[in-house]
Amino acid sequence: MLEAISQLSKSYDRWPDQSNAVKQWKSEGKKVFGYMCNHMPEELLFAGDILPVKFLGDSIPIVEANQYHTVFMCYYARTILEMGLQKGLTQLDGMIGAYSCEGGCDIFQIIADTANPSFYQFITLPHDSKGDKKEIATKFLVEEFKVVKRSLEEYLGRKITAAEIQKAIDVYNETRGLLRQVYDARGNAERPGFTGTEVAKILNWIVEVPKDEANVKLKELLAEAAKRQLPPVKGLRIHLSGTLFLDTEIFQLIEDLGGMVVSDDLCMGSRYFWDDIKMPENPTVDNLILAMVNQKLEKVPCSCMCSEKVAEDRLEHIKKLIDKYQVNGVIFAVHKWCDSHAMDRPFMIKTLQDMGIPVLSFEVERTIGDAQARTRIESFLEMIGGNSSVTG
Amino acid sequence: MYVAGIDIGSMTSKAVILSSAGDVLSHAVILTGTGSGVAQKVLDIALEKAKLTQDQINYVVATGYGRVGVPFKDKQVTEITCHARGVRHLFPEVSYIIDIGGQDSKVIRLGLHGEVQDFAMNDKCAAGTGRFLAVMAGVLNVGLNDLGPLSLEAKEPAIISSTCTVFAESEVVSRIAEGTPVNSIIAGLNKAVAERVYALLRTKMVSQIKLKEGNVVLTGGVARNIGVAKALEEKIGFPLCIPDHPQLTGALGAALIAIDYI
Repeated sequence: MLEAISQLSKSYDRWPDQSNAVKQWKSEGKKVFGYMCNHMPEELLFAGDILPVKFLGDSIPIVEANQYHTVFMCYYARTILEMGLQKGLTQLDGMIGAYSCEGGCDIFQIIADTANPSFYQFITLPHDSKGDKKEIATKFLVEEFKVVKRSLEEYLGRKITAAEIQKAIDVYNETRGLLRQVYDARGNAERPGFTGTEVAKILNWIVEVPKDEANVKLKELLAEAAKRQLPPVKGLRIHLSGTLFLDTEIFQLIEDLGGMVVSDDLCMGSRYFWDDIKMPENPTVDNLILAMVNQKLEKVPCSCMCSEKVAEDRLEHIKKLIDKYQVNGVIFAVHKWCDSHAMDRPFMIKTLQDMGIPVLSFEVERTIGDAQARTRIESFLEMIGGNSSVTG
Repeated sequence: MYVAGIDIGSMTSKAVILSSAGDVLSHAVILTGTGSGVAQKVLDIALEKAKLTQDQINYVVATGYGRVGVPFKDKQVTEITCHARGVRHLFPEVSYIIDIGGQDSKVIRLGLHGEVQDFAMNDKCAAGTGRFLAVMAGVLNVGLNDLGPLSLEAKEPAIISSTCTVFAESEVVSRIAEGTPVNSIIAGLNKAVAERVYALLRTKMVSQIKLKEGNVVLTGGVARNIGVAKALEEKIGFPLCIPDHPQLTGALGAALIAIDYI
């Protein structure tokens, strides 16, 4: 692993209270907000000098959270509640939730009630935003984002200007572009610049640190990657589908078994950064907010969205990545009790299989590290590797 | 030249020794138990039966959950691949393999040339596995090997609504308290396992490869339970192919793969 990537973990922590990035930001007298869902407009916060940090969750035993919520809920969301109840989110000045999946919505509201941050806002997200619903969905989300902006301004005691929003969008778009370059470097079949595990570590880090500083570091990493002499991946090239993981174990396991994750549509992966915000020609506050809304409603969709053809749209993204990064097989590793992903997964699996693409699907809870998950992945790699030993 | 296949399962460990021509020279099955050294023990038994020493074995393939920890292996291959190879060797027409082991149950679909096309494993709990039946045998105070024959004596199977091992245990206790005959309870348990595994099979069935007599093979230790086998056959609608030694197909497949490497 690149030493510079190993060092990234020093600048943040899965527990925001322990994060050096959070400490550093706050030491400058600035605010830090936590969020869970990618539909939260980070740029608005960054424009107001607020550091948005995504909740990463942690593979901890759930004790207190079970007193507040049913266990029939993805482990990721429940660990965030557990963190809040264990006083692990006390350094956060605020939290902004977005009504994405039901579970995330429930959990976030309980966290807000129990952690009691000095700022709390919940964005109602229109779930049906395609076709003839687009116009009204856009209007609705524009109003929601304007409410967030006004609330932030009240909280900060100052206006957030168009120039600040424009600058924040520029910074974030640069991050997105650099991350796409990171993916291209990893996906290079002849000479990969990064391993799958390294890229997973970069994604964990990038959502926890200020993006302007991160962009400088990303450029350094890309420069280092260009000089590396990593051998081509001998094993199978895997696309990973799902939400996010509480560690990078699955990436490492696939590498240990001779393959590599070269592509993904994870919410802590390509779905986080793939689509830029299109900067308007006349960047007024209204136009900039509209541009942010358009990006949220048109980006690679999360399965929590209910628009017609939402699964088809995500599948198109997966198919493009399969071609771009020469993928041999797709692994769906989805959190147990994630109803949204459980709904569109059968359609996506069938479509991919009908296209002749091998698919493995299994559910994860706290971590994937049990022998059965290992056997499934190892068997899958043997299966699509055309293990001649099978047929003799 | 000789090869060995070692299958370290959660309940039993198996070894098969083959000649380079593929002739079975010996095999062994022992309880896995706890602690290390089970791989060596089961190999030693098989070696003794074959009248061979370990240094005469040219290649060892390990499989099963304990494959990673077999110290003398030359290669490890998953049990999915090994079962496929072993069963295909015994039943060249096989398309679907149902394997019910101690810790998990699996369904494997094979293509025309014996390649693994797809597979499914049970979720990580004991429902529908040998462990489920072992726990229930303990509750009923009958031998594990008696579960099959006893169930055939039942007039009708008791309804066991839960295949969760923990909940089913309390359900069995309730049935005993109600005075339900033990053989009916056992028949109900066997039926519950069969239904669970049949549901797993359904997830991997494709219209291009239809189930038909001769292309569905039942393996794993639970295949020795005639009650589960009959209940499955009832669901599927025709007799299943069951190897003479259904526990050994993984180790056999591992040994056959080993031949490829000598």
